[in-house]
Amino acid sequence: MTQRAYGGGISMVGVGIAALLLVAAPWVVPTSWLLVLENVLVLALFATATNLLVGWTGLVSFGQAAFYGIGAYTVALAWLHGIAPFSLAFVAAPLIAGLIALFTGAIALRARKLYFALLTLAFSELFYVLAEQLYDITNGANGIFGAMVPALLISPRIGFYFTLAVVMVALLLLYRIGHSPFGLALQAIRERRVRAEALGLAVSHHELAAFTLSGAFCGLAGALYVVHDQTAYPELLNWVKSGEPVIVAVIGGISSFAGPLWGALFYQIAHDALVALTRDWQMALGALLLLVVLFRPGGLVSLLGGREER
Amino acid sequence: MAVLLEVTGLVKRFGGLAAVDGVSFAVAEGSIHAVIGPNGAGKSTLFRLLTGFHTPTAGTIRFAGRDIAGLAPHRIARLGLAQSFQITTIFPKLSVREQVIFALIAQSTASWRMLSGFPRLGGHRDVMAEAEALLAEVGLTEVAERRAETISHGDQRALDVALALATRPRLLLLDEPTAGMSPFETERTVTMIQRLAGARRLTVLFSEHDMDVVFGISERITVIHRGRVIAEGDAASVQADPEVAEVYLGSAA
Repeated sequence: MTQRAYGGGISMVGVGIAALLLVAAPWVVPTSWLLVLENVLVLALFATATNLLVGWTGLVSFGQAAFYGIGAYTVALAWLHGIAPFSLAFVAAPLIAGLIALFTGAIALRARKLYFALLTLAFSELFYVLAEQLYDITNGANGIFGAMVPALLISPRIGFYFTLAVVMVALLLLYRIGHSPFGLALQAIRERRVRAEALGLAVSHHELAAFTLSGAFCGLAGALYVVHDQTAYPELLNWVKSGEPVIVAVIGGISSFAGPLWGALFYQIAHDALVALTRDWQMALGALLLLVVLFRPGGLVSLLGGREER
Repeated sequence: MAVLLEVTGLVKRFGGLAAVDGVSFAVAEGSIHAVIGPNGAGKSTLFRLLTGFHTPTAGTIRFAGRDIAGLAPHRIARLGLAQSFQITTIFPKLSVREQVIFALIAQSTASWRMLSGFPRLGGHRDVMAEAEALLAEVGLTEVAERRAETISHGDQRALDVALALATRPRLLLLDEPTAGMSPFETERTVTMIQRLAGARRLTVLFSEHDMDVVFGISERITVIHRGRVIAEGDAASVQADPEVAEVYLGSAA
């Protein structure tokens, strides 16, 4: 690969090895590990979808959990109220999340930088409060539990392969989007918005498209979360959850496609290890985030394949 | 020659202050036209009005037969009015080639293609060929793979112009193209402007502090002071104008 600003950290060999390991995993590792790996996959998709905004377009959103939660609730509510079968609800989840992202994005993108971030955070909290308050529809703070996923997918191996397949296809799509002419336009917006506009780019339309796409893929990640945990509850939509994909992307490296993937693997393992050790795991995570931002702004991925990163 | 750009009674007020106060002038198609004036005369505001980054308080701007006053910047760019910036404005982390390709597709529907791999740009080989030609024209072929933030200042200025040219403009707006340049770089830029105006039949409108450059290449000069036009004509008539001499006395001249 030639020297490129973005897109480093991905090699065909690496992708092949990772795919082989993941396909073999259900036959090699214990079930408890499989569940951790599923978490990593869902988080990797959530963070990569968020990074289309943060890393590619330069739009820092602290509201992506709204779309993640909407994806999860789409599946859960369809089951609870008998609206649609799982397969239909699962397909509808990213579409509904994307549609809502289109509307919230149209409002949030009227503001810039910090104010944009605050508006996305406000939307996230708004949907969180709605999920908690609309008790008759959502069961409120109790959340929704039950057999909302077909029995087949509850089997650890099949559930894992289902998650793996969906995440792989979604990541491939996100990769193609990031490295398409549209992805180049997003990077130009990040680098110098005014100049992109002066060159004739319809900047605000491209930003809204990126926001909508990101929301749809976050919604897909949320639907996959339900496959994994068979529950949806209000905390999936709040701003603490919204911070997660941003932190994962920053730790992994926002300037490469592979960054959020490595970030997700590291974050999940560090999280599980720290939770077992101390109640103050968030403090340790905060310290780590601080170290990355101060000393390795390229993220973990810059430790791995330093040449291709900035 | 036909008029490409015609500004009539243009006013821009910021609060009580009129930065541009009833400016009228016309730029002939295919000409090299300079706008000069002391610091704070209103040149930069005038340029931002032309490119849509400011909305006029009053007046009209006709470009290629259309009133463009108040249009969004990307709409004006699409009509063929391109600008190069006073402060070099490039995309630091993109490679030189990537951003030239971007500039070529920014106005087209190609920027909406989401699944064709970049930089192959499937089905857009003409874009790739055009990018190579443009890189060669401004002398950036050798640094095409480098990130823009890593190339020399002179190359960055050339890239800035290449980005403006990539939009296939009819009128190129240059805001102080030789600002901060060494005499050698100034010479290179002046030669480039003259070559572009000749070879591409471009109309060039520029502002400039270096009077040697202004009088050397301009076919027509508009002098602005305190937001108003105080003189207009060719180099000789502007140099002979007593009001211009007075404005510049003790400053640039």
